[in-house]
Amino acid sequence: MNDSAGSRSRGTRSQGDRVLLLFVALAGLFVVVLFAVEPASRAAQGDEASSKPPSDHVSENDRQFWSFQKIARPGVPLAAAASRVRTPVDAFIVSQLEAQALSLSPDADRPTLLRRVCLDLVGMPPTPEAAAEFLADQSPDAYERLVDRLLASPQFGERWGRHWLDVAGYVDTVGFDVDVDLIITSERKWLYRDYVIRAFNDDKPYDRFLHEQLAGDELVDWRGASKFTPEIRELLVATGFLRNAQDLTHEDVGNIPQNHFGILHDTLEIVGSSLLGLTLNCARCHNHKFDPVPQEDYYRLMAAFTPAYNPGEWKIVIPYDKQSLPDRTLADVSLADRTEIERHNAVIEQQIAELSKKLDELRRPYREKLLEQKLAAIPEPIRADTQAAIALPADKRNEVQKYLAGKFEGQLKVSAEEIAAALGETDKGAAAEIAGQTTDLAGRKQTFNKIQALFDVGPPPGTSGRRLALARRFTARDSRSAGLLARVMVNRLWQHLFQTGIVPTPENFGMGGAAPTHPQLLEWLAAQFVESGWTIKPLIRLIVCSSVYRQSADPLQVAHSARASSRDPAQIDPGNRLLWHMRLKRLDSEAIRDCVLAACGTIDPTMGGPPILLEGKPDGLIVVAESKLPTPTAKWRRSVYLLARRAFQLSELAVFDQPVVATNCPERARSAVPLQSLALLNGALVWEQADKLAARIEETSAFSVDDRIALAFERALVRRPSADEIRESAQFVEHQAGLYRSQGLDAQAADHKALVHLCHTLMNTSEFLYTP
Amino acid sequence: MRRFSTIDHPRAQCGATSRRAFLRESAMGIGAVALAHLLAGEGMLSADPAAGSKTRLDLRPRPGHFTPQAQSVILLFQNGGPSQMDLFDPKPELTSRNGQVYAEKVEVLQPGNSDQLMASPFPFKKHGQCGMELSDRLPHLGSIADELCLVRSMYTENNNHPQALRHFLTGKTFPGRPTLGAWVSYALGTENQNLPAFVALRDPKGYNSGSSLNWDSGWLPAVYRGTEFQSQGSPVLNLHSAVELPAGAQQADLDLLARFNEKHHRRFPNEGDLEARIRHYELAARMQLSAERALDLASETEATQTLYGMDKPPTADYGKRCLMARRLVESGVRFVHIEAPVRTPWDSHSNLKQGIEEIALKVDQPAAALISDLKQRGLLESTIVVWTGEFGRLPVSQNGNGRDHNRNAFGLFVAGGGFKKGYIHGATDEFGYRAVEGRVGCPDFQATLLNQLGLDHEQLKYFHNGREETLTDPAVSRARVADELLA
Repeated sequence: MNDSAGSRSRGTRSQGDRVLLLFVALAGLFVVVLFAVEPASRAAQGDEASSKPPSDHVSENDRQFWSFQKIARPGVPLAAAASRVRTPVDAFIVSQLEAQALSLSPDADRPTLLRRVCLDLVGMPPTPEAAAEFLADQSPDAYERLVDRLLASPQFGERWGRHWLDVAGYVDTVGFDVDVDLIITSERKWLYRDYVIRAFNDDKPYDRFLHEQLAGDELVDWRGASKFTPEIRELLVATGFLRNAQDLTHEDVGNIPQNHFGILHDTLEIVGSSLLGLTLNCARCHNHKFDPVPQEDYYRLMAAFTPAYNPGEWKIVIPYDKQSLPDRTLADVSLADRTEIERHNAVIEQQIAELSKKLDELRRPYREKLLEQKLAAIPEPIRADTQAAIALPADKRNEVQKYLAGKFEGQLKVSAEEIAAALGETDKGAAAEIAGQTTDLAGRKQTFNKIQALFDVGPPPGTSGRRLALARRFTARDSRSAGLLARVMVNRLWQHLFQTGIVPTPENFGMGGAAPTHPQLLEWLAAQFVESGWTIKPLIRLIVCSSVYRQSADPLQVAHSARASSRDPAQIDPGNRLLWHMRLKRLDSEAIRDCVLAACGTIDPTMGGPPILLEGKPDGLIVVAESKLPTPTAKWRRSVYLLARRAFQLSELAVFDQPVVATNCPERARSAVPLQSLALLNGALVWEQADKLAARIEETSAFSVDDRIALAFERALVRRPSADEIRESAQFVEHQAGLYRSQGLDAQAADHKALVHLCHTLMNTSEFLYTP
Repeated sequence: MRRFSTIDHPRAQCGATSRRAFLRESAMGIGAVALAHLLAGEGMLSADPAAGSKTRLDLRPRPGHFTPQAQSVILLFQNGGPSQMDLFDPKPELTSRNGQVYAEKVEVLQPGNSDQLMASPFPFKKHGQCGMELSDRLPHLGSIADELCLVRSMYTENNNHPQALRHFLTGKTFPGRPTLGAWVSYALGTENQNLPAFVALRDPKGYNSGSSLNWDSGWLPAVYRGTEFQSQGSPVLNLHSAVELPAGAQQADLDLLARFNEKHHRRFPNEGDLEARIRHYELAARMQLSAERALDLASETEATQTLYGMDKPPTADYGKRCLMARRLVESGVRFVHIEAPVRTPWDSHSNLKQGIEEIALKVDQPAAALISDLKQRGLLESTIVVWTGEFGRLPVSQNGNGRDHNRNAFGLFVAGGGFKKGYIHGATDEFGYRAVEGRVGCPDFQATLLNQLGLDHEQLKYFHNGREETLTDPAVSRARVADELLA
C-alpha cells in the first residue's frame, strides 16, 4: 500500500514538475524577441516562473529587427509598365526595376518556358505528348492550364517533397555511415519520406504540416485509441521529422549520454535552420553573437523536446541487446491491438514449442541409435572421453578435450536429414504431420509494422504537450513567430524557382544573414501565404504565372534592346539581383538523373515504398544494387526513392552536390567541378540511357538522318535544332558512323552507334544541365 | 636519375618564376590560357561581406600572406586515438605501479573502465642521436627519429570520436565546418591544374570514423572539398569511358560538345560556371593522362616499392597509399589526407596489445618510408608530414586489457616543412593522463601548420552567416603559432 501511495505521489509530483517546466520553457521563449511580451506587462503579470529580469541580451533594437516583426501586408505598388504586370509579384519587381530605369526582359519563348516550368515544378522535362499538347495550344491561358496540370501531377510532390527532405535532413540510415558495405537502415523510415511527398501533393497547409511534424503524436490520442486510423498513423509518421538527427546509439559504444544530448542539439539545429531561419546552435555555448537568442533560451527551447527524447533514460533506435533494451519504435496498430497480437502470437509460439518438443521426442530414439553407430567407429579407449568432451561447452574444454572434440565432433554429428531418412513409416507420417501443423500455426501469426516516431515518454497522461504548445506558438495567428516562419518558407519557394532566395541566406534570417533584395515583395508573399491558409500550391502558381518568372534568361537580348535607351542593365545591376532577366539555373543532382531517365523514356514512375538499395563497387563507384531490385525497372525509379544515406549517395548524385548530411541542408551547393564532366562523359548511366534514347528514336517513323537528329534534340533539350545544329550534327553522326563501320559494324549498327553518340553528347551539354 | 618531365615536377623549383617556366614548357598546351589566369591571380582576399556568398571558386595557385616554408601537406591520420603511453610517451611509473589504484578520477567515455593503472605491454628504446624513446612497435619511425618532431603534450576538447575528429580537422567539435585541407586549398589553390588541390586516400575496404566528412569543405565552396582518389583500379572515378569507343570517337564527341557549349556560353557570357564547364571537358581529357601518370606506381623502382612495404601483405595497401601521396605532392597537389586502415584501428578499448601490434605493423614502415623517401628526393623541406590521431588514451585499464579515450593528452609526429628535427616537445604527467608541460592545443597546431604554409591563421577568413570565420577562431580558442616546434 505504501508503495503504491508513494509511487502515486511521485507521479503527481513529477507531473507538477512537468507543468512547471513547461511554463518555464514557454516563459523562456517569451524572452526570445519573437515571443516577446513588453517588459512592463511582464512585470505586471508578476511572472514568477522567470523571476529574473528579462535578459539584457535582447535590446529594443533587436525587437525592431525586420524579420522578427508581425506580418504587415504592404500595398501593391503601381508599375508604369502595366502591360507586364500579370500578378502582384510583377508589380513589386517591376516597380523596383523602374526605380533604376530598368525593365523586365520579354517573355521567354514557349519551348524554353515549357522546359523551365516542368523542371521547376516536377523536376522532369515534359513527355513528348505533353510538350506537343502545350506547344499546339494557342489559347491565351494555355500556360496557366499547363501550370495547373503540373501542380496536380503526383510528380510535383516528389520534386518539392525532396526540397523539404533536404531541410529536414532526411536519411534512411542509422549511425555514422562510414562503411560503404554496412547499411544500417532505420526500419520503415521511408514512411516519413512518403508522408512529405503526400503532404506536398495534397497541399497540406504549412502550419498544419509543421504541427504534425513537431507534435503529430500530441494531436491525437493514439495511446487510448482502440484502433489506429490512417490519420493516427499519418500523424505518428509525421514526427519522423524529429528522428532525422544522426543517431549513434544503436551500438553499445555509442549509447552514451554525450550522444543522447548530441541528438537533441542536432535536432535544435535542424529546427532552427529549417523552420525559424535562425542559427540557434550558436547559442549552445554562449549567448548568440548577433541574434537575440540568449544561451538560457536555447536550453529552454530544448526543454520542449526533452520529454520525448528523454536523454536520462534513452531509448535506442535499434536494440543491440534485445533482452535488456526496449525498442523505441511504435507499431502501426493501436497499443490494444499490439497487446492482442503479441498475446495471440505468444499462444501460437507456445503451441509451436510444444510441437517441436513432440518432434524431438519422436526423433530421439533415432538420433541415439545413429550416434551409437557413429560412436562405434571411434576406438574404444577414447570413446567415453570423446563423448564427454563434446558434451561440454566449447569454452569449458581442457586441452585434451579440445583436441578430441576438434577431431571427432564433425564425425559424430547427427544431422536432421540423417534422422529423417532413418524414421520408420509410422513415425515418418507423424513427423510430417507435426511439420504441417507447425507451418500452419506459423502462418496464423499476426504481424504489425513499425513506425519511427517521436513521442513523449512518461507517466499518464503520457505526453507533456510541450511540442504541440510550441508548434502552435510558432504559427499563432498574427504573431511575430508566424511572421518569421512564413517569411522563411515563402523565401524557400522563391529560392527553388529563382535559384536564390529573396533573402539569399535561407537558413539565416537573423542579423548575420543577408538582407532581402525585395523586402516588400517578401512581406506581401508572406501575408498572402498566411491569409490563404498557409497553402503552398496557390503561391507557387502565383509566382510561376508572373511575368518575372516567364521572362527570358537571355541577358544579351535585353542589353541589346536597352542600349538604345543608353541604360544598359548589365552596367546597373550586373549581378541581376533585381531580376531584369531570368536566372540561369543549374539543375540539382536529382533533376539531372531524373531528366536523363525521362528524356530517354526509361523512367519508372512508381511512387513510394521502401528505398531502392545502393551498393559500392570495388572501383569506388556507388551504384544501384541490381541484385536487390524489387522489379527490373526499379533501377530507373526517381532519385528521391533511392536509399538516402549520409555519406554514400549514388555517385551520379553525389558529384552534383547531393549533400553529405551532417545535420541538414538548407541550400544545395552548385559547384562546377571536373569530376562532374567525367561523370557525364564517361559514366555508365548516360551511355546506357543514350543507347535507349537512340533505340526509341529508331522505333519512330523518323527515317531521315535530319529527322532523327531533330528528335534527339527534342527529347534531350525540349526544342527543335537550328539548321546549323542539324548540319553540324549530321556531319558528326556521319563521322562517328564511319569509325564504327571501319571497325566492322554493318551500316545499321554503325548508324545506331553514331546516334547514341549524338544523344550522349546532347546530355553532356551545358544546355542540358541548366534551365534558362 | 630524373624520371619525370617538368610537368610532373612543378615543385622542382618553387615560386612564381618556376610556375611560369612550368607553364611555358608545358607539353600539354594549356600554357597560354593558364598563364593569363596565373598572372592575373588574385592576392589573398577574404570574402567581401557585401558580395554575399560570391567568392572565388577556382584553384589557381595564389600567394599566401608571407613567404612559406612549405608548399604542401601530407596528413597521415591515425583514426581511433593512438595510445601515447604504448607508443611514444614511456611511463615507468605505470609499469612500477601496474594494477594499483589511480588516485585521480579519470574522465571516461565508455563503460568498463577500472580505477587501476595499466602498464604498457611494450618495451621502449631510445632512437637516433636525439635519443627519442619509442616503443618497440614503431621500429621504422624510430630509425628516422632524427627527422621527427615529436609532440607529447597535445590535448583536445572532447573524448568522443566524432567531436574530437572535428576538433582536430575543423577547429570545432560541432559539425558543418571546413576541414584543414579545404582551408588550405581555398587559401593557396594548387600548382597543377590537371589534378585536384586536395586529395583523400582511404582504405579501399571502406571509410574510417567520420567518413568523407574528414575532407569535407563544410560551408566553403565545394571546389575546395577533398577529391577521393582510389588506390585500387582507376585512381579517379569515371576517368575512363564505361563503354569501349573506337579511337577518335571521344575526341569527336568533345569537339561537337565544345561547339555547342561555346555557343550556349555566348548567350550567357556572364556565367562563369559555363566557362568552367567548357574547360573541365578539356581537363577531363588531360586528367586521363595526368592522373594516371601521377599515380603510375609501376614506374617506381622495386627498391622504392619495397621501402614502402608494398611487397608484404600487412603494409601493401597503406604503403601504396603513402607512395601515391608522395607522387601527388611531387605533381603539385597541395594537400593529401591519408586515412588509416579501416575503421578506428587505434581504438583499443580491449585487447590493446594485439590491437596495437596489428595496426602498428601496417602503418609504421610506410609512414617512415614516406618521410625518408621525401627527404631523399629533396621534397621533405617543402612538405609537412603529420602523423596524428584525434586523441590519446587513459592510464587506467578498460575491459581488463584496453584503454578508453583521453582528451587531456595525446601525441603526434611532424616531419619536414620547417619543423624541428630530432626534437621532443612537451610532457605529460607521470601517468600520461594530462599534458602538463608545453601544452599544444589543436587550434595551436592548426595555426602552426598554416604558418608554415605562409598563412596567418588570423587573416585566413571566409565570410559565412554574418561572421568572418577562420579555421582556428583565435578570439575564442586563443590559438597561437607554436614557435617552439619550428626550426
